Amino acid sequence: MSYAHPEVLVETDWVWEHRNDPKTRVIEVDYDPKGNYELGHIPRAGLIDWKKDINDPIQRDILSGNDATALLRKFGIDYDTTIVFYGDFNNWFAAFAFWALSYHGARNMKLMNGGRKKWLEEDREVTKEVPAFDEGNFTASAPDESIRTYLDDVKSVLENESTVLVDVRSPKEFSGEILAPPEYPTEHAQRGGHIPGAANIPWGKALREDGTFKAVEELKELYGSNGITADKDVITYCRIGERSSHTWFVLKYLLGYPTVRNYDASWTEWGNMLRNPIEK
Amino acid sequence: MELDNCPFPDNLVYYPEDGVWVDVSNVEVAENGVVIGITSIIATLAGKLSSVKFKLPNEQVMRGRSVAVIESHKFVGAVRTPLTGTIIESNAALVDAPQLASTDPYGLGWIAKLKPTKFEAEQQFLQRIDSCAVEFSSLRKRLGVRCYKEFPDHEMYEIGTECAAVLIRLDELMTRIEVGKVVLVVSDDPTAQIEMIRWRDQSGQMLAENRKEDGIYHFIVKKVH
Repeated sequence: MSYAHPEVLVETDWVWEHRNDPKTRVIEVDYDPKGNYELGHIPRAGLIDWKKDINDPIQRDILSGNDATALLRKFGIDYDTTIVFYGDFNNWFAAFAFWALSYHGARNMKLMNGGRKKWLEEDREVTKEVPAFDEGNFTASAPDESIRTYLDDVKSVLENESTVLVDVRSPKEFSGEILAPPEYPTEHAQRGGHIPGAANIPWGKALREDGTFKAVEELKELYGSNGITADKDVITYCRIGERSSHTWFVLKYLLGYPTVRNYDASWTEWGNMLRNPIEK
Repeated sequence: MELDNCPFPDNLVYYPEDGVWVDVSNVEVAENGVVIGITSIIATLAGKLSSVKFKLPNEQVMRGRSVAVIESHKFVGAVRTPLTGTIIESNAALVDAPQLASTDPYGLGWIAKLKPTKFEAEQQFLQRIDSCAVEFSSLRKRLGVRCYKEFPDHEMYEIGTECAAVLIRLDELMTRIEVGKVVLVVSDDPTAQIEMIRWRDQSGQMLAENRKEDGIYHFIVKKVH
């Protein structure tokens, strides 16, 4: 059995074969470009620095529609360009870019299965040359609110049996034992725990050891056995909204669930708000 | 030689473009070949390694291709050979103790032994440290790497956080980690140095390093009890 939307995933071989295809644009999305893109990247791949490029520089939000237009045009992206994202941390931030740009109407996007790590482990060619592209004509459309959700919406569906929440953080963050993963000690909320009723399925469980996605049967079992099924409205969240984009991608495209929304404000909003209910 | 606190042994040669060192002292001895490893800058950039994956012995590797992939909780990177050759051996000790390549990158943490096949033509790419100190200094700055006397197991970047809050987090971290572990604390609070010395005296933990660079304070704290 194949994924519900297999077209959203390409393998490293495919990317290598399409490296000179003018209608395909490969973009590396990094948490840390210095330790990744700048040390060598896929030939002709552009760079998205998640902090600078996918977040609003002033207020807490993802990039605006105008930012998305400017960003994708800079990479020479037209309406009909195929966009392939890959990146560090097993595509964690690549999936975030996929989600954030979907919100602003980008289409024909794919993830490279296995991300940067697989490309390196296969010892494929990299370069330090930064490519230049002619300006593209992509224009963002009105935000697609069907894939995003906010505090008030989440609060209003807490008692609703047709909605399920997936907390994709580590079990220790879920239980409230720690407030942020040990490697990000500064990204704290005031309170630990999780949104009442949420199921804890860490995002990385959707991946094999080599960073590629598990087969569809395994994914169905992973989410289905925790009550996260296609007949529900699913909300994903994590600490700051990136890891949950990865799970959003799995549920919406690999499993084809009809309604999956990312609560990107996530725990750093929920765990900081006065009188928000918390379960430990 | 030390470059901005990052060590570079004088007996090795280097390829700054990929941040690796090569020991060519036995290159004439057929069964030994050359030894390849990562420099202190790459080791520090990567953070404490959790895995090293090697190519197999007898595999031919072109110059610029990888002999291993190193991985930590925050980094995945290739170790690229500046010399074309055949892999003789990989450092098996790193399978169980990958962190050796972090804490002792020039010694026990070597990566691979290679029999070069184009040494005559390619040795021009390798340089003594005094000839490539400028390249390594600029690489260090570009990567934003700082080397410390002890290799950090944990990092706390506390920019814009009041010192008292930093110390609460440090205390909390201290309760979770084992004796012997090293924590890097980076703070921009102007009172940080006074507060850290007071914290050291009260907690009885070790403050192994205390530096101020570009207005930012860097502390290396070691849990000793």
